[in-house]
Amino acid sequence: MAEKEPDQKTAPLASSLPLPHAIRLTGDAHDGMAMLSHLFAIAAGSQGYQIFIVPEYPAEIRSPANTLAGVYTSSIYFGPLNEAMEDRTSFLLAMNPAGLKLHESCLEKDGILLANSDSFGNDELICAGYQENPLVGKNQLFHRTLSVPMAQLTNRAINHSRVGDKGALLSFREVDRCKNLFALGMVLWYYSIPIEPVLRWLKQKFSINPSILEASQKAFKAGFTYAETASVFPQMPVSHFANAFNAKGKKIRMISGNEATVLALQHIASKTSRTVLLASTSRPPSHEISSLAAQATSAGFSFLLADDELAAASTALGVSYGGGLGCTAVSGIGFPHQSEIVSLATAAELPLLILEYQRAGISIGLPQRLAQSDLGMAVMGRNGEAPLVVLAPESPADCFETTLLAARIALRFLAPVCILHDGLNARASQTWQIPDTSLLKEFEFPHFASDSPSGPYECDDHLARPWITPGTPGKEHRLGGNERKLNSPQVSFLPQDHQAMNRHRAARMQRIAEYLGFLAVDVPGNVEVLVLGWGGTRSVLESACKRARKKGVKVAFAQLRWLNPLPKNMAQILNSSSKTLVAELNSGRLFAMLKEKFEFDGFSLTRQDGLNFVIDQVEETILQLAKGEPT
Amino acid sequence: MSNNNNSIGFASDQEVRWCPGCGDFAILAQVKKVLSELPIPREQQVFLSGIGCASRMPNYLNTYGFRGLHGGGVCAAMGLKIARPELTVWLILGDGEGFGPATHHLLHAARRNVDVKVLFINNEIRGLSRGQESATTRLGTLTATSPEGTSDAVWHPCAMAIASGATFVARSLDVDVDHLGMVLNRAALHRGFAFIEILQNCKVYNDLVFDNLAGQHDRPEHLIYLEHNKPLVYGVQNRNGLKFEDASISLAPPNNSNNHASIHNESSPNPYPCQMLASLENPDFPECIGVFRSIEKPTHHHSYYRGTSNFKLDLEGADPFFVE
Repeated sequence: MAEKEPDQKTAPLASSLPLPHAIRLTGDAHDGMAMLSHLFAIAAGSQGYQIFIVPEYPAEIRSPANTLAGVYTSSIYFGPLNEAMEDRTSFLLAMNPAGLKLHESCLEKDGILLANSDSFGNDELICAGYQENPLVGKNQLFHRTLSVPMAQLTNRAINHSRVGDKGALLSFREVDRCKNLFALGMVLWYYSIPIEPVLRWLKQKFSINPSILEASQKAFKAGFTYAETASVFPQMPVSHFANAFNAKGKKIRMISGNEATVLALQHIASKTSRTVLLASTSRPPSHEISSLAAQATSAGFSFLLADDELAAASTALGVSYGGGLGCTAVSGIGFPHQSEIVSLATAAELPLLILEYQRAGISIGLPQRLAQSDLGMAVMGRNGEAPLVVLAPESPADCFETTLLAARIALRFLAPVCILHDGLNARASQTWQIPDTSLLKEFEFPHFASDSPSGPYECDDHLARPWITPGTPGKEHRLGGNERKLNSPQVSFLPQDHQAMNRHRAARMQRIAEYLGFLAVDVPGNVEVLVLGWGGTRSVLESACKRARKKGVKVAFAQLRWLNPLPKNMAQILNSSSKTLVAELNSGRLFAMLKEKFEFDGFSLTRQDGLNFVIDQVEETILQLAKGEPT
Repeated sequence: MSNNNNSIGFASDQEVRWCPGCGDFAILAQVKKVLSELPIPREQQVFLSGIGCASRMPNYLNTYGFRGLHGGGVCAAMGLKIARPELTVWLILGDGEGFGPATHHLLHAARRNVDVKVLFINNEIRGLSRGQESATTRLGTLTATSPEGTSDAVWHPCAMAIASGATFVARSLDVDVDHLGMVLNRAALHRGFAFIEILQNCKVYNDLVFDNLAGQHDRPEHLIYLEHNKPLVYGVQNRNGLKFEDASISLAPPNNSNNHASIHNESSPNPYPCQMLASLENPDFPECIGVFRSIEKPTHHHSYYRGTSNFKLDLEGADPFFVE
């Protein structure tokens, strides 16, 4: 794999650190918590911290305010992804009682609870299921509670006398919105993180609205000052983390998996000078990449909000037929809709990228919750024998590289490729060193010379046909979904032709497996347990492995970046350990796939409640396996 | 331009496989003739289709062709035009597919004014599935899936297209080769969504369903040939006519003067008169053949947003930072 993909490494840089450490910022989905965590990351990132933000969305869209169902939470982790994860948190910012209710069990006993007391009124407490106020008196949950009337203080800081008055510059609502900046100021003070990056961000963001800019800056600074003067808790010194990564002077940005994917598509358009179209619908959670793609401005890349998933995939395939790269983003029940277009792309041998955003539940299910639910559909879910290449990114930044890899396969083999995203790689975000894209390698295409007598289906040594597109004089031909003769566009219903074509398509998958090569796995000798994962759970699984290793268990970790075809060295990987634990957020789909093909002593660890693995549980399973106890 | 740009030269090497007497033969012949007369190179012509008897047509044309899935061709055409705006894209749809799985794609493509020429070949029956009803099958027709006769109301394809915003809408007959050729030619040169309903006889499953229009008997009494800026008259010596009045349409009293009927305006900004004309049915009214509507609007691939900036701007995002 390393030989095949010498792209500049864009993954986060390594660091040394005494971690993990986690912060949670929780509140109503309407409270702007995502922006708050983004700004925290910019401020902390400017100090050299590697930051990883995992959002937890309400299960349903537009949930009622102040209810448990409407809570949005950002968990912020420090350090490299493979060791940053932590089940519990040392610092919880609760902007409302519902957020506290959902996360009170995760806060360390001596952790700090910072709460916006203005939103802990009777109505909000009842909505969250509290009988008494958990911030004060005998019902106080945490002895290190800092209960701050953030809305009132924000109001005063901005200019109490003018708000709401005739001629006021800002409405009550606009002022109230600034309270999360007040909270951010407090959090930054506690972590000794300079505020200048946030002030610069506010200045840039609100430069066209001086009133909002002034109010935002006042609220933010007031929070920082308030923490300094009123806090009873000591600051967390910067040196405590000591995890500044080696990026001094380098240009960094926060990037979500969705942003990374759109950037990769833009890069493909720029590098190949071909039209790259992303066609998708507004079905969550793929709706998020739709909005991001619509804002992309670079030449060659475009976006279309299609009428439904079939329209999206068909439009994308039309782009590919014309010589571009058609891509479609899809989730939930939209994915099976596209099955027939994937099948058609396989039959016609046209490139197509399917960005599949997995979500929890069958049918409508839980649209915004986490799951690795569509592996079976991706690998097997088509009529007839229509193989599909399936990849899965391991982190937000890896979405960039996985998208490039998917495009390389699609363009080199003229085949559809599916990327399985989940909430942990697509919607999470991390610090990312901005790559020099001029150093990324060129894209390859099947060989075709316009003066060659080759027909449109005469394959090269990769078993890829020449990509002859409409407009090429003298090469007019017809293609489509009907079965055909091998190496010819001639439609054929003869049994021997159908047999030959099925073999041809299977052989092409083998060539793709050759192209992908070996999966590099660091498995030292005498390993007791091998943990095998795929998708965005890597950070949690690897963190659990590291903990188990500290307890003396010889455990290795392997991440499957591509799931169909499987790595050439899959058998060796599975046999490198006496026991293999396959961990996935479904009923054990990968485990079943592996068991069908390989002989190995394997165990399946699954979770299907719409949430991520808990490190403690994964670690416990590893320890039990190592001891030979039943799991 | 490639050689052999005559009608015969546009035939592919595939054996044409339709039932003897099928109206598709005549349509194919006219398509080839029109292609040979157009100032557009063969390699720039692309025919897309889905599933159905008529959808075999791309296989029989020596142009670029793509035979996709039931209903998916409309959007594939849109994608193709986004990637390759310079190509002339045709789409073959039967009434079974066009008013089956392709319906809403078709309506959206019309709304967006996708620059594609849709040949909606309407024989009021699903021939490939051996005579099952479609959304244009006349009320009471005995079909393989309606042994007691169909009971559902029908759609009028041209009226649907006009209502959806199509910028060129016409109707013609498989057997009226000159008229069909004229309509195809105009559609080919139209920039935008061109919808041509071609009434086609299915010899096996719905024979003579258009005999009132295509047969010689009493034909002028049932048919108006629409002409731009000409009165809506028909019948012997054009004695009969149609009149628009109070947002409705009515039969004008028979007259020889020719000025008793309303004037057909295919480029009127008001689509409703054309829509009414496209909905008329025998025996209460004459049925219309010709161009209902032809207006100019920006096409989808022209008005479609395309970025022009340098990729580096997006790569760095709105708020990159340096580690201090």
